[in-house]
Amino acid sequence: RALPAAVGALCRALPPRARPAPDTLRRARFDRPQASLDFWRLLYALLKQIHGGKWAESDDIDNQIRFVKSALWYHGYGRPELYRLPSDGSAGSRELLLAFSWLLHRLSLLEQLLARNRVKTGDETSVCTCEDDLLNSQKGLTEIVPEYGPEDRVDVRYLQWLNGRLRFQWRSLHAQHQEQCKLLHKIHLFTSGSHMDQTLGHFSVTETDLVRQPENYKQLVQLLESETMQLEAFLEWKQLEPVYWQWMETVLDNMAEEGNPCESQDAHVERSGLPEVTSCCPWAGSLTEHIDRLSRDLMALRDQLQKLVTHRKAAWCEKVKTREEELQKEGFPATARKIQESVELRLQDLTYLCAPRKNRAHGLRRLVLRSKHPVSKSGWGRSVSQEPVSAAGAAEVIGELQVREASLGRELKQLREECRRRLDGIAEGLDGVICVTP
Amino acid sequence: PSPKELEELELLNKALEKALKVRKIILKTPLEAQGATGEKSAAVKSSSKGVACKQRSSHGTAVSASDRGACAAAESQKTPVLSRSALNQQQSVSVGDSAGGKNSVAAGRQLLDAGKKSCGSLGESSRKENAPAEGVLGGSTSPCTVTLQEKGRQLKLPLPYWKAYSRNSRAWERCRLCQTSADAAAARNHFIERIQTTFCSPMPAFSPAEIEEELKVLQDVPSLLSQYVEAETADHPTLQREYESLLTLEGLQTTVSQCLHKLQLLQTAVESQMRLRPDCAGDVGSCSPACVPPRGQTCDGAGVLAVPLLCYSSFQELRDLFALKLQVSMLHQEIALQKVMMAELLPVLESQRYPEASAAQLYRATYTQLCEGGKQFPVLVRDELAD
Repeated sequence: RALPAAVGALCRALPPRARPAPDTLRRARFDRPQASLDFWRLLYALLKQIHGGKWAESDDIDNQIRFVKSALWYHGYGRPELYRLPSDGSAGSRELLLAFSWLLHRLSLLEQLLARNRVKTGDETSVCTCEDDLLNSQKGLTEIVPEYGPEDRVDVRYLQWLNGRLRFQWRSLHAQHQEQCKLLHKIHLFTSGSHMDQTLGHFSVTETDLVRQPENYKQLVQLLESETMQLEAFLEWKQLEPVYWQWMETVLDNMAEEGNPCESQDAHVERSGLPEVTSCCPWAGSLTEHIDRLSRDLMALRDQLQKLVTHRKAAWCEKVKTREEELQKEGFPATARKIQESVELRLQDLTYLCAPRKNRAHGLRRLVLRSKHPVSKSGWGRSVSQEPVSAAGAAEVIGELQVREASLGRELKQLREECRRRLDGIAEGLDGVICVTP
Repeated sequence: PSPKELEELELLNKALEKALKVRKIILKTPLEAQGATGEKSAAVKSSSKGVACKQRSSHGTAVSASDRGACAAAESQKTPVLSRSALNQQQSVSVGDSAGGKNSVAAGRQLLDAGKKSCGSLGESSRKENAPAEGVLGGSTSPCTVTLQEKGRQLKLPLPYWKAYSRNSRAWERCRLCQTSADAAAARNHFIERIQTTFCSPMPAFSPAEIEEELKVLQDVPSLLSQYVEAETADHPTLQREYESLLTLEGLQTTVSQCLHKLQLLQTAVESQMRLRPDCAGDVGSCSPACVPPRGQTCDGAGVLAVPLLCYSSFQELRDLFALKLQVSMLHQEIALQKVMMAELLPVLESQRYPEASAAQLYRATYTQLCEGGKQFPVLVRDELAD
């Protein structure tokens, strides 16, 4: 039957680091022993590739299960049976199989993993404005920083010195980046016309070095070849997909027959019994904080706008009252309509910026030097309806970064003003000293 | 030298290493025999900019090995060469260049010459038309190469790589164009619908992933809106302008209330998600994935398979891009630090848990750090009249 072929293709289309044997899925379907454990591990490996962060030890099944449950919740998986599975990984392989299939669809798991793990042959950089993984790496830093007890005195000048050092590092980093830009640009410029892939046009640093020392890059060639095989498995999978989904429905059928409906009601009672512990949960806490800050900001804007509009409207009415006939003669209504249209267009731009953007891909992109003239044909000389490349323009990205920069700058300013207010209050408590602000 | 100076030296070394790396590319070995003979005569003249040396075909790889050796010797020798004065020339290394590799090479040359090492002949001695076949090391070695600038356009990727690359590219393209068959889509959707009926009954309007994604979009809105508002606060000369301004402001009001409404929905979603949250999740900490794409993209799964490029059109654009990325990173970090410092320093001052004598200094330092980003100091004046 086509099912083993489908499952086989599916497995081969997954990245090497998280590639199950086709047997794992079959065993999960029939709830064979050891199946659950293997499946938890599989889900962990897959989700970790999407979420990043430090990988737990392979035998730390407890933490792995916790992570998988969190991740599934995060993406909106709602089957309570899964969350009730034991944390030693001893049961529930069919539930896991269901969750896996749901992820396949929900996250476009195969496509996402392929894109994320794409073999890098170019000079890569990211374009999204998401916060860096600083927060994750900070967890490791607490081990380096000495712990100060409550009795210890820390000199604030140490803090100032550290701050100075940080600034220095930022400046050096900037200098190095600029240097790197110069070198990249040179290589791109000098090798223009050499690359046979015309969508690229020039070599990257890697490729230039490859020309110099091909023997160093055998591994790169191997990676490309194994990725090609993975892609071919993906194509196979797409052919055989229907069989897989039908199979999954039989799993659901089985579970519906066996399962007890009253369990789900218990789940509801259980769940609502938990207090809304937004304070104890860091995720909710930080989001709520974020939402509050944005709300306060917007409400302040709203009030400001309210005043402004009322004032202006009154002034406008005053002006127009006396001149109505005159304006009619001048053809003002027509002008007014035109103005309305142009304002609408302007505001449409704004709402576009305020709405989630579908094509703003995260992840790494290859830097390509391209003159302003658009490339008229695709690299392979075929005419395709859609561009085979997803090319973001640096100018566009710079614009977005500037928006982000302005927004962050504003946030920092607001924080500093809050500090100023509080420190002014403290200053009044200091005897005999007046503070003159710079 | 102080630790700071050592650090600076290290950074300078690194920058130099990089410049030399590019130089090494320039000091390209004669790889393919087919290219070598042709280049021999072509590369005789040293161009006014950059390093150009005649290629000595007879020596083949032997020369290249010694070139590299010579260069390596130069590199290892350069570290002690750097002195305090060399640091002042750091600027020339990182300054944007005008032509080719001139600046980095020139700067490199200066720094090497500062130590008067024999290998400093890289570049200068190439003025000689016919590089004498003297001893390779120790003498004035003119490494034989051709600049990347001259020959870069004629480079060719090695065949094994090119084969693998083009096969790979075609496979990606086929995957991108591959449509989900109607059968597959139907079967899949049917399964998904069924499984979703088994989910907990009132599912919140947004999944945690969606909440975060929506917030990411909204986070820049206040700043944008306030810029628009600022633009409209100026006085307007004409009636038309005033009308336009009024309409804009009203439009902005609508946008603001829409956003506020959205925020309320998101808050509700956060609370209902908390109720569903598996109670083990507290330990995992932030579950935020590293740049997880928004839901919209799942419908367009194959779109993700196109070749992701970032195209820039000029050197300045590239530099601006990098500078801005760094600036955004820095701001993220500054904000995080600001919050932590506020949480730790202000309570100390407010509760006066410090030795009395250092009150003023502590206040001043805290003020500088929290309000001025550590850059400017307030002046504390003793209130003499209090006596």
